Amino acid sequence: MARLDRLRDQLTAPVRTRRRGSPRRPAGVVSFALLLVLAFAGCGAPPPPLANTHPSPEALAAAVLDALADNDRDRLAALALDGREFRDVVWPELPASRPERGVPVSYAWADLRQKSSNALRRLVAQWGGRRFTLLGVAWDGETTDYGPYLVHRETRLRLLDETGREVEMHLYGSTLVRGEEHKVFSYVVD
Amino acid sequence: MLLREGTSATIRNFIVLGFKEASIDIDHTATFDQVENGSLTLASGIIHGNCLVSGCDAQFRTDSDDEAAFKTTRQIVTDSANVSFVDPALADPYDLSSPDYRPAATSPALNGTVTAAMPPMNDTFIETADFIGAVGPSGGGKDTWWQGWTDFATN
Repeated sequence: MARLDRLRDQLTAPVRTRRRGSPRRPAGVVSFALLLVLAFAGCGAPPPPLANTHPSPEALAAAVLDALADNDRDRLAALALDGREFRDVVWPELPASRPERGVPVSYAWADLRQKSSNALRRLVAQWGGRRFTLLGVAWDGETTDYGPYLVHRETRLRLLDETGREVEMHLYGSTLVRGEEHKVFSYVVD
Repeated sequence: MLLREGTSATIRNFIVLGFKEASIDIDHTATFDQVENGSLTLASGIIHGNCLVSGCDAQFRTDSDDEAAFKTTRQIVTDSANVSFVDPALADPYDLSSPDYRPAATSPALNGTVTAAMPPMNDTFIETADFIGAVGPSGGGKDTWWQGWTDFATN
């Protein structure tokens, strides 16, 4: 216990030995720098935003069904990833984004967007204007954990059709989940 | 590259590159049956740089069709003759508006790493090629056949 007194003396010694007249660092500067360091170390940059998300797989599926019943392709498209979200949220976590792979994000996004858009066009042509009631959501394919987000593949919806008959359908393909944010990753149904 | 239900094909001198999903995916029992009876075969090809946005294991993704079949897609491809998983070193295959699919001079599509297959006997339609892939090396006479009638506009 007695050693603590010595320790206290050692800790305070530099202050005591500061030469008279030597400049002293303003305490405010030290505090501000410390706060700045703690702020960066503790919080980091906020995750890139995802627009138009839904809080659960069921809420996302219901939004897809509503837009489909309204034949609203733009609304359906807005429920899926856009180019900025793919670039900022998805791409950095994919193995294909490693520099040695030499694949530009523009190529990967163009491929994904074109196939998803084509699948969306077919979805609206086949089922647009039809109203379904959601009973449940499941995934037949695998789930991949990319760290900040998950991708569930082969989304299967359990539905009631307009006649009250229970049906199971794959109306869209994969679902991206980040925390409580849900979006359609791709409308492509394998 | 999805080989859909019942596909029957002789696939040779191919490069499978830059697919969003697995490099090759054989779908449905009927397609696996074609493999088993010899009506769907692959040889002399290069597979590289696929699975851009999906989780894969060495260019393949085993699914329920694979598990139900006599072999997985991966086993079928790796058992095929003369198939390599090296970078084909194409000039600029990922340029969306102006891609350049010509193999570089040192490309394994040219240098014998993968030997090009010959067309079937008495076949007068398919030309013999000494490279792997659809486009030949610069100046080789088979590097510009696609120009003038293909369109790479994004939609």
